[in-house]
Amino acid sequence: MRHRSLLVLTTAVTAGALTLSACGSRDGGNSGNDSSGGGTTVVIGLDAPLTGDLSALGQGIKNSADLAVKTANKNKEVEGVTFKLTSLDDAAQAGTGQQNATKFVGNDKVLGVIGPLNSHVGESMQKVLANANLVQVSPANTAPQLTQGPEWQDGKKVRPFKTYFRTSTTDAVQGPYAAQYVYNEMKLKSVFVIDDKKTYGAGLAATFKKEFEKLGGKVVATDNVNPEDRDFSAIATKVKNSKADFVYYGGEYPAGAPLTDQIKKAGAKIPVVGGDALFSGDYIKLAKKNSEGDMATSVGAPLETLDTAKEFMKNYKAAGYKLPYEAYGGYAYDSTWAIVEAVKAVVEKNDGKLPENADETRKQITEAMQDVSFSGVTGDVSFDEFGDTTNRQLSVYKVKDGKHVPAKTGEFKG
Amino acid sequence: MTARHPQPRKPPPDLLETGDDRPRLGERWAAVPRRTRLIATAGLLLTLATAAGLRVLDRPGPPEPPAPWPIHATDITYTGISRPADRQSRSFSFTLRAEATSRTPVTVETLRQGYRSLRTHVTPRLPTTLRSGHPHRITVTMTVRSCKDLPLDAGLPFLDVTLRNVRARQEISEILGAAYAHDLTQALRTICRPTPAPRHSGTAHSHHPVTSFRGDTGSMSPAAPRSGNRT
Repeated sequence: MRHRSLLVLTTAVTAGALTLSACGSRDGGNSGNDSSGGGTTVVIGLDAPLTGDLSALGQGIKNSADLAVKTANKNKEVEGVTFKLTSLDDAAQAGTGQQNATKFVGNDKVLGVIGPLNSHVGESMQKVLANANLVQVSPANTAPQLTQGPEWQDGKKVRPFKTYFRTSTTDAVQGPYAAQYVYNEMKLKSVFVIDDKKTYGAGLAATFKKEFEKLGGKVVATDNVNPEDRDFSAIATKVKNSKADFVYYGGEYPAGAPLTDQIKKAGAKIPVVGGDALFSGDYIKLAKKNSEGDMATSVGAPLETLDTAKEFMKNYKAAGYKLPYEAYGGYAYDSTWAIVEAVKAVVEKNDGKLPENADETRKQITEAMQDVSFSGVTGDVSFDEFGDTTNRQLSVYKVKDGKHVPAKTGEFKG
Repeated sequence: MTARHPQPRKPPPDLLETGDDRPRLGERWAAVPRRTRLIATAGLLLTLATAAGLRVLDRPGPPEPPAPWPIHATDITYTGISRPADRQSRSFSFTLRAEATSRTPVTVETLRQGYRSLRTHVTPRLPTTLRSGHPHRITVTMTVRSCKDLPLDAGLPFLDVTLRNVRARQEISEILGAAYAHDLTQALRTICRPTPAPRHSGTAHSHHPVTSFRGDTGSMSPAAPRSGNRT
């Protein structure tokens, strides 16, 4: 009948109108371009120790960078661009890191490099990448000279490579902060300083020692270890006999963990304090129960206090990676995202596409990196004139009941 | 004989009658001119679509994000010496610029330099609440209780500050940078290591006492060079 037909038509049109308006309100997350896939593939290289003693940290870096790449592709973050991650293992060796840098340079599709973990590997890679104008963002290097030059400690800061950036803060702050905390707050006045003679460990121990002595602390002895060794019984006995209040270890957890274990077994029930390379679940695991009370500083504020990090932690878990993101996962995610942002800036500058010449593209991405600024997993991400992060927070963690628990957080205004 | 009631006549299409025998809605609608029906239908659709759109707009938005932790919601910057070190009062003052960086106010509960030999006095009196867009000037006066064991040239001195907002209470280290380190060193050295008065070769009646000079006990590397902005 005619009136029924009209009623049905009215309902159908209204329902159609409602459906269209509802679709519009759900569409907030899309970038506005419905094209699937990208016309250009941009490769981001990653160098980290994926095998060997530090592989737990290296795999956390790799997985986190992978998550960032997947997220960028899913969100179609850069119009017309699909990102791909190519990871190479450096096994924490400077020579291998340098070879990897050469491989990245030789691949025209590689427009940015994440890594490495170790400062001494970073030193070997910098020049190779800089010669090719290939931007490098490390999530974990902390040796100050990588961005501030060899005379940074005398106040003569000179940036050695404009292609090198990092999202982690430096040992110039980490060592002295630990000294101030231990001396003033923990009231520990005498220390036995040990380091592994590597760039990171020796440098960190030196900055710690200098500040500790300025505060009035007493350095009862200093010594070195070979980080490949695992028998530290001789030095543990020296520590016991020194009657120091604590040990400061400049080095990484594969040696740091058995060192603290053997020091306690030798009868010196004193804490071992170190830097971010002791801030790992593996340190606690390898030291068995003898890491209780030990302390480590690390870059950044605890991830639990960062709402931006919660999303990262949730997504990392959902992605199903077998190994945890560890100390540098958040920084690796942000380092990768910084490259994504730099690529985006260059695409926008060049009428929606990357320059045809790879060398020119790399140069522009490096330039764009200097102005990158976004809210990342670890907080606000941007870089100063040296390529150092402007987010200079760091924390002290204490091992309590088998876990690293935040003890204090600091913010550096330099 | 039953009276025959006349059958009611069908009303003309444009007349509506009340009563039990009044036309149904559909019949009435059919009686409306076609043009009028079309305009009415369009108006109804527009009204319904507008109502639907307004309902979408009125839908409650996503929940407000939680307030950030105090360390991520506060900015404290060293702005320079306001009263130079005075050996008599053994004290000096400096200022900080403090501001909340998110919409949530932050309360500064305590503030001190972590050296036992230094006493700290803060103006305005603590606790004081910081709000975004309204930077506070905080004056910190430090008085030296004892020069013994006081670190005179630490490279990275910091203030221990307790902050609180609706999210958490947090004790943080405000590491104020090279300019603060330099000024603190200079102030502490002025109070704890006085320099000698100049010698005068005058008459026997002129008495110019020479202040005892402790001197350096070893090589003292200078504190961080003067740098940083002083606003």
